[in-house]
Amino acid sequence: MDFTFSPEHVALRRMIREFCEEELRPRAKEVDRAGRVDPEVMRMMGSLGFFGVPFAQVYGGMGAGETGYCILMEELNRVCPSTATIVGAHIGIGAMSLYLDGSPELKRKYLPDLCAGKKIAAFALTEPNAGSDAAGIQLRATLEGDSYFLDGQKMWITNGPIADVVMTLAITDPALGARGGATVFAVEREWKGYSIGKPEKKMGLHGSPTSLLNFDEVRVPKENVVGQVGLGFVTFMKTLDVGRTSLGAATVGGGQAALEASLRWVKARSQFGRPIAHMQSIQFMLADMAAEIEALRSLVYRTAWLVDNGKPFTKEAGMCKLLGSEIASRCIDRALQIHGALGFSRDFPLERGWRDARIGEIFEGTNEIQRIVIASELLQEVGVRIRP
Amino acid sequence: MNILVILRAVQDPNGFTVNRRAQKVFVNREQFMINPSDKNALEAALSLATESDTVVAVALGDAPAEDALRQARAMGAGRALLVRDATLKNADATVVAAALRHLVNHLDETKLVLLGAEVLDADLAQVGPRLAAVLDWPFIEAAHQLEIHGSTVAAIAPQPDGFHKLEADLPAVVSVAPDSNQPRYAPGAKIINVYKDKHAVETHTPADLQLTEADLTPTTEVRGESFPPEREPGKRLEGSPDELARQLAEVIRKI
Amino acid sequence: MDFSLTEEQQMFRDMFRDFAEKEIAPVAEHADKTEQPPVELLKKAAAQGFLGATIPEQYGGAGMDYLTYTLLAEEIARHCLSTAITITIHTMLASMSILDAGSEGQKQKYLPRLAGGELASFALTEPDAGSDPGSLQTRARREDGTFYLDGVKTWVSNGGLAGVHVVFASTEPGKRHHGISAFLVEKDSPFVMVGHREPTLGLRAMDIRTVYFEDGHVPAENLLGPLNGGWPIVLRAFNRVRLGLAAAALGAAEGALALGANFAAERKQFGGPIAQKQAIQNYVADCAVEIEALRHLVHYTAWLADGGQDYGRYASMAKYLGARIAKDTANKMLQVHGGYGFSDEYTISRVYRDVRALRLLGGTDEIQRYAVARGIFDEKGLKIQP
Repeated sequence: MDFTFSPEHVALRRMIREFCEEELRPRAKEVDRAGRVDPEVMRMMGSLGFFGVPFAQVYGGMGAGETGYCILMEELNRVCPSTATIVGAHIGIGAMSLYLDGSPELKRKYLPDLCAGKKIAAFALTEPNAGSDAAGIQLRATLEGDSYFLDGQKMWITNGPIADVVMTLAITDPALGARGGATVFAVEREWKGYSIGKPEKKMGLHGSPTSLLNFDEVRVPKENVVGQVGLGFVTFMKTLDVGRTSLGAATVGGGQAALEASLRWVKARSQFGRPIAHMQSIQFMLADMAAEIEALRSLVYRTAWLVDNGKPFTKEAGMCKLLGSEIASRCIDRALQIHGALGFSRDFPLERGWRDARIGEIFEGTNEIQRIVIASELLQEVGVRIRP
Repeated sequence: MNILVILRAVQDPNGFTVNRRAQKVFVNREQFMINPSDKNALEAALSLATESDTVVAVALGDAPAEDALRQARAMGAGRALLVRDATLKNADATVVAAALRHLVNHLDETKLVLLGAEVLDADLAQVGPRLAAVLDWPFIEAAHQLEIHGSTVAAIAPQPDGFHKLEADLPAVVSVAPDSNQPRYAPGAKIINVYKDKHAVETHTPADLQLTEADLTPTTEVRGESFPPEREPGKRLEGSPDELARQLAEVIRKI
Repeated sequence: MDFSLTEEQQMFRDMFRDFAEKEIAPVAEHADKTEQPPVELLKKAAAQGFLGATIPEQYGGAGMDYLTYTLLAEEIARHCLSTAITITIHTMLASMSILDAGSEGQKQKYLPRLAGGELASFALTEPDAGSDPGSLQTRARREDGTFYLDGVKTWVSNGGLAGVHVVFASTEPGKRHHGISAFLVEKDSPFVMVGHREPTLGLRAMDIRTVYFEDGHVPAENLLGPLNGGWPIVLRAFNRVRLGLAAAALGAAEGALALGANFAAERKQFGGPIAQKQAIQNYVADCAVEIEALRHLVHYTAWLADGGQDYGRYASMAKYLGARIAKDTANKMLQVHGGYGFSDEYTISRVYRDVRALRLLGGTDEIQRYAVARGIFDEKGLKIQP
């Protein structure tokens, strides 16, 4: 077993870290306050290839695989979770569904611009009545001639307000329901009937724009079906699986940020006559953080290896997301506690990280759903099939 | 035409703790980086290069030097040359200058050699002037705002009495001031491709370059390292201008 | 053992609950979003006697016992933790310190004002003295029988609203706890400068500030308690406020549980309300169990205090447990809300942010654990250090 990263991945991480320190860190506070990421940062990330990290170079991607993508998410989330979320939703679930199941023509049509960051992607699954119960979606796609007409609503769509191309799951055959009768469509923002709701006001991730999307008889040409008609649910579930691994990577970055901030603070802050680094309670909190992050890091990069080597990874991906989100929350909470009252102040970045982290246990499949997914895989291995 | 950039791989100072009391430098994390002002030199080269120019990055040493060269290729340098040999481990500025001279001669037309004006190790700032001397080329030190006009290179550079605009005929050697520009990031795809490409860096030995034993013999010898002495507390002189002058003269006489 | 509330306590509780539902619930969200302390609400609370809660009637207070006070804090916190803590700090820390250590003259002068609605603050914390108040640097220099107060106090709750600050300063530098004295400082003293409000993660409807004391004259009659006798005042105040915060934690947890249970009963996924899912049931059950345990610890601690018994260790336990349970309940109930839990439009995210403060103010978790351990080892004759 070789646990070293390849030289190209080491070099990639170094460049991304430098970028994050120079360009993202100074802006992170303002991103949270103003609720947006600087367009200049988006442009720079585009020119460096951030928006297409895992995709093959033949489509304009960076060709760095799932491992490279995990490295990107880890480094971005370490410094600015809002930025990481925009990029993550764009690559990990938006463009990814196109990349996994789209026809070569459809991929050639959209991927180069998506990889360059010239166009932003989103993934539209959730609806007001279909959250964890994704199979309960109702958005309809009716075939007429050589077009489909999409009608309905999608909710809580990350990148909704800024996406140029939205991979949308719609019911094409109501009799078969979502599992056998749904199809993924690549929908362009400019098309008639498509409108964007006002951005959601959230507790954290203020710089990551989220909104409702309305489809009012939006005409989508047949060519824009992603994958097979009727098999959209499978495409989307596959996409979510891949996305979960990189979410796990993001949480490694989040945990790491919490640990680094804590190490700096315990050296600088003194009470009872000495740096608080000398308090055993503090030492144990630091140790617990480091141990959890290390375990998570191994799980995440091993799962990335499974993805890059074409092996099954559904169970492991679910574990990455489940454990990662909980570990990150625990680590940032410990870090806040270590900083005392200053952790509660908006003049310090701890509370921002704490607010940003909370969604980790909810989006892209709540942790309850992750547990169902993992249990389902485990029980399948012993011959028991379960339903949520 | 070639624009040569000399890169030095240095240890990242963020990995050190300096303990003056113990007179020790503790290396907590050994990691290498491109000497920062060499990166500025590389950026200057990439900005100055026209369609018909090739930026050639060169370095002497082992794995860290090779990594520095790959980074340079990823940033946009057209070629990277590594001179690798155990004997170069104890190279001083004279040896480095000799090696570089042979390298320049080995290559086709080189119109400009750039390097950083400060190095995060011994920082003797001798390589530039020595190289210029053995090549018999003009040398500009600590340049800002480099420009090429036809067959000359112009720069703003510090002189004893302030900053001056200097011009030199090409070919020339110029050391680039730290922080005089913003080095570009290497695009990700280039990083992936350069690091996967076994041939991204061309390796030479001193023998390939026809370096003689004399070339490889350092003219200086490192006998030891120590911390600079503690600054003595100063002494405050008081009195009338005449008395002050008298006291000062005494102090100077004693030095 | 009689676990029931007296008739009077039940009456008070019903009154508190009624007030909280009618007056506090409608303004809590707005106060948080605009970050404005609900001044009108506090006036109404004062009119009901809530600000004079445990102050004896002879000084204009409501003469409540500690148990009744915990019911008040609980009912208010159910809807707005900011308001509950504003009132708790005003009463348990500040005004009760005047009752505890003040001269008759001081009690007559200040208590009726504070019971009537003028807020008070308790200025102890400093930039370099948080968990270790013994290292405070604010100086009260004695000169010609009067004092000159100089220093900076941070994280002063009610700092911008208070008419009176109870300020702790060193009258004998180098003696740490044994050199601390307490002073009563009026807000409009010329040397008192109130800084900007602390922007916070939660409790955004509280007024928390830095207060500067610029070498100002404090008359001798404003010394509260004995010279260099400030630390015992602080310790007794800590005990009271920990009990109050524990009760507030209980109320906040109950509020969160109600929000989550209501959501689970309404939200339909997978063919029915999510309350039908075992995972959700487990969250709700676990929170309910912990809340019940906390309730009894809070009431027991209040009963000890009302009986004049030593209750400090229990106050630390209740506060420590309460902070954790409030956090766990808010966290689990936010999870029950799914994506809506992360939205600013739903109350649960405010509760989640607010309760985070409970593990920090009134003594961090770490301090509470130390206090409990110290009490236990003290009994064995061993003195432990922080």
